[in-house]
Amino acid sequence: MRIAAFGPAFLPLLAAWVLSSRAGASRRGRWMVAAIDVLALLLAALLWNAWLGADLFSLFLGACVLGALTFAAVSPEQDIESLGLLHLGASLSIVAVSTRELSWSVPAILLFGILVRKTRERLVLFLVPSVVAVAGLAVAAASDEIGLLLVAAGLSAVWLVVSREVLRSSTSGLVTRMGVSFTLLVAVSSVHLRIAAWFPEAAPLGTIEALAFGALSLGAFGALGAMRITTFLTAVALARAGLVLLALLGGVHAGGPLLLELAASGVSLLLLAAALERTDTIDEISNLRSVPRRLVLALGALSACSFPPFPGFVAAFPLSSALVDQGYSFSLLVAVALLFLLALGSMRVVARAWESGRTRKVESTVGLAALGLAIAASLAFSIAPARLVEIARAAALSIL
Amino acid sequence: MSWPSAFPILSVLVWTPAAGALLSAFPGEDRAALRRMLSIGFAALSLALASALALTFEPGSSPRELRRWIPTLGLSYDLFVDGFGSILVLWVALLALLALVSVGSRELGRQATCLILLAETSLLGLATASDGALFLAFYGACLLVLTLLLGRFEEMKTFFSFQTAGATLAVVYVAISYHLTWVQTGFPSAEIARFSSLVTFPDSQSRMFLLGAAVVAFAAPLFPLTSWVSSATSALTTPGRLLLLGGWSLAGTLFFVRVVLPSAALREGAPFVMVLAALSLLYAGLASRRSWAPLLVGFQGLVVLGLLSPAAEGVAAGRAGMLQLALAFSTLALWKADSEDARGPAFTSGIAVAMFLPPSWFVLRELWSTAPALTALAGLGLVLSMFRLVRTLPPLSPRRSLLLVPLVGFWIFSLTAPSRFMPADSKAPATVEEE
Repeated sequence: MRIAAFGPAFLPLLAAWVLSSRAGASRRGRWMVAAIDVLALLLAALLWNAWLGADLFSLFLGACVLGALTFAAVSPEQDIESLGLLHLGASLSIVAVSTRELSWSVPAILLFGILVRKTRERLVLFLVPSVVAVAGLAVAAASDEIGLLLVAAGLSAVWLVVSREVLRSSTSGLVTRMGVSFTLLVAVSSVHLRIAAWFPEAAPLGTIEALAFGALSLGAFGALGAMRITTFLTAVALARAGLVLLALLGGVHAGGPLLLELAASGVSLLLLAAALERTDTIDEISNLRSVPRRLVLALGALSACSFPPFPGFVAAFPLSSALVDQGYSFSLLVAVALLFLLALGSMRVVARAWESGRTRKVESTVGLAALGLAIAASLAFSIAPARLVEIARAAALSIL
Repeated sequence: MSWPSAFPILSVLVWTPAAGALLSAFPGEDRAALRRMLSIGFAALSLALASALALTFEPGSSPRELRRWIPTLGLSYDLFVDGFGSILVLWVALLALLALVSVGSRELGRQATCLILLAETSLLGLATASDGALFLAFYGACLLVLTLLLGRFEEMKTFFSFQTAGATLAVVYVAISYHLTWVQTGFPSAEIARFSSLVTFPDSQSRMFLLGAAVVAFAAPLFPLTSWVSSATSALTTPGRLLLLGGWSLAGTLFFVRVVLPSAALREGAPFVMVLAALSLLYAGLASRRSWAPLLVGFQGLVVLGLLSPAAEGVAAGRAGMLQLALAFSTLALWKADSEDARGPAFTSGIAVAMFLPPSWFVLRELWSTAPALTALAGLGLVLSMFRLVRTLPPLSPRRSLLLVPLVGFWIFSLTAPSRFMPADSKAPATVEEE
């Protein structure tokens, strides 16, 4: 019955088909797509509760992907083409997180990358890490250590290249673009997690640590110095990816907190994208007038750095405990310093949004979807997070 | 009198201002009077609850609310007040009400009104939280609210940078203690009371103490981490200044008192921190600027000196100093910082100075027996800063002078209840004495 886990993967394909048809551009078509996404999410929940052989880990990550998909579908934006690509990619992402074979998940991720890249420029930047990842799969048969190292490094680089390109391609449709970046991150993280859990001896932890610090440093300094919104969003996504990679070093006990941080990353990135829609530079944030929009922006920006009491904060305790347990105390301190810098970068954006004495001209508010997600995330992550923590823990344990 | 266990007095007290903030957000800009009425009503209700709590406080039957927040991670929604806490919540409730009535309805916009009430909730949460994660959640919330109250981009940035550095160190401190609790007891917990029973190597204990001291050095702040204070106090209007100087000035030292000191039996780094504190006092006396900044730094140094005193009386004086410092600074906050026409002396400035004197006397008296040179240095700084204070403050307007009445009343009340400042657990000083 493991095939049941793939169930939710087919529905996004149906949604992508609706989006590509004539009905896709209409309001009715968008509602249909949203309904299909919600149905897929409900199916994932049903599978979780019915225990139809689908492993909880796959379902948790699948639910993260479908949650992002549903949010993008109900967000008020008009980039139908990107939304269709996101649905195709999400389908592949669900395949990648649901399969227990690296030989399936790695190609699914690469195919996702090929699909969502619109540009043919800088193709070599995408191809080289893709080839490295595929070569890693081939080498793994002979040498676990080198093969897994190549897979981990190749996939991380693919995520970075694709996210950067997708986010930078336009300042509109940011939620969909961020959705692409996040769903790809979920798929890549699932591979990393499986490698770390299944091959504890051969897992390339040194490489993962280096990648984590590279991503966290680039993200933190990038967020601190960014002047354009797309650069800022790329930097924040990169820092969150670095945090997730770092959590991998925590071993079995870090699994639950890692999944929580991953889910919190999705919330934070999607809320940021929704609040910063159609703004070009950081200075333009001062023009935002809508209070709900600025509140959503503050929530997204501050949960990006796990600032207390925002989403992601409570997972910091068990996560740091697991890292200290595994002997990564110094790495943890460096990560804390980098998260501090990320907090300063995030506060730049929040301070711009809330500084007084400005004439604010941009009236447009944030959609109901973003408000709903902000409220739901505050409830699930900060106010009453017990259930979510238990789910994440169960999901993390089921990987073993 | 003990509160019926079915009535969650602490939660009601903490969340009443937040409810007020939510409701105050609804009236539009043209209905400022209604908003003011609503906000003052909720702040007054909160003050009534806090007064009831403080006046009916009995040692041994203090209210506590313990709910499992995230059982798997050992984090609880744990609120508790001891004698010191009961005075603190009363002070915070009074401070927020004063902040709201200190200016007219037209001067206080919707955003500022909501932020003041949210700051009250987070300060009340800080004073009552007994779980490390919950404490940090309120700490972060309060820091964010005060940052937003500042309103000016550059000031927000500077204040947030320094304070977040302190908050980050506080998170590291609690995370380490959480880990040690997990390792030593076999189950995770961030309950602050457990931290004091952790067994650590002497060198780790010293490092932890220094980490805690670094939190207070950033948050209080102590010399030389002070560059945000002047710009922040200048940027704020009276209500914001009241909350920053009278409320937030307690946050760092509260972390020190609640979390760090009870678990720091070995304080090898204490002399270094004490020198820093004495230098802060000297800086306050010698600084030439007419600003609250050096004064805040200096008197926070005095509080830290008191808290590090080996005798329980000194610790009590330090705790009383925390509160009376906040009181005195709230009195000062009624004046505009960096005022160009600041000339004195005046009767009202004399009151502000008088508020500093009792805790200063007790702290320096306790310190004299252990570190006379440091006491002389700190005393010199104290005298110079008092002199500067009296010399520079102008007389207050009659309306502002009226606001002094509740402050002085509260000051007298706090002087008449010295037993509430004694550390109830007395673990840290006792351990030092035994050793």
